[in-house]
Amino acid sequence: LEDYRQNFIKGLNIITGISEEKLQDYASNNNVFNVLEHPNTINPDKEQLNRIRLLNDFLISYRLLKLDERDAKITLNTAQKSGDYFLSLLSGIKDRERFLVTFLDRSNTIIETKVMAEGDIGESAVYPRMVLKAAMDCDCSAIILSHNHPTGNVKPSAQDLAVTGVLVSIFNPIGINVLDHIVVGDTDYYSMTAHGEVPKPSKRLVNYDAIIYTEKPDTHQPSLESLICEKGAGKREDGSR
Amino acid sequence: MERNEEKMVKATILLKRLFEKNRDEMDQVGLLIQRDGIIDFLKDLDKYEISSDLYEKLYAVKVIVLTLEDLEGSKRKDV
Repeated sequence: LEDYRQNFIKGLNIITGISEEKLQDYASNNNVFNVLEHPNTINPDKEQLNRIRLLNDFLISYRLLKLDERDAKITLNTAQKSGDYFLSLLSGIKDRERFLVTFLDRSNTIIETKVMAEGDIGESAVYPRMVLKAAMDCDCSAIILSHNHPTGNVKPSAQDLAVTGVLVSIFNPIGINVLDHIVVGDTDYYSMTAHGEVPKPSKRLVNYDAIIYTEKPDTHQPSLESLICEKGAGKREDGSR
Repeated sequence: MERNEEKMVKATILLKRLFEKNRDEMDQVGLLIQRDGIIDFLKDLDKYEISSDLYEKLYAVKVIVLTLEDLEGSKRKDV
């Protein structure tokens, strides 16, 4: 582990410009591998923080490309396969929320996976219209949704159910199935399909407003009904959630 | 849409922004990634004729990628 640590520190120093001394000092009391997930814990300057973000983005691109190269034809036909797939893309992300959509053909083989929303915690907005456009562009037959919970708690929030319900209801009339919504937290995942929690399509749920989602505590969550009534699951007019 | 080629372009652009290297040099990197794939490109860095500064930075990225992959692999085994 010490070899890993030292190599990681040297690499991070070269890429980000954060001094080895500072990284060594941080590593003496903390898990240095967490620097990428929690960059602010090491008090980087603006440029260093930007480089850490670029490195994180590259790591995601690398993982996606690696998946493409390893399995040119990835088929997501079970909740477990879907869970493992999204776990490889989203595990370990703790400083931001990222919402992915995978577009599948008739045999549930991946056509492509796209990042549809990304932002600081509580700031990510999913735009149903953009998801719809991406689905139309690739002529998919089904989609699978996934996003991460930075706290590691994989239980879906009311917003997670709401965004799923909205997308199920938008895609159902055009014959595109929303097969699952995988919530990833740390090294675990939760499949809504495996738990029978994918909402049924409903005309009432069709809503193209941006949906700001967040991982809310289990208590005091608004109900799905309250999120979808009147304004649907989208952002309210006053900008609050 | 984000097909394999577009992902490679995106990865190359991210490296370019990360390294602040000149366009020609990163175009070369982009072509090599497209030709050999991202895995083999990083694995076989030694065989490419690239500047020592670019090599050092790419090698640093390779070390970080491999370290995180190894750690992730062992973490999953533990789980």
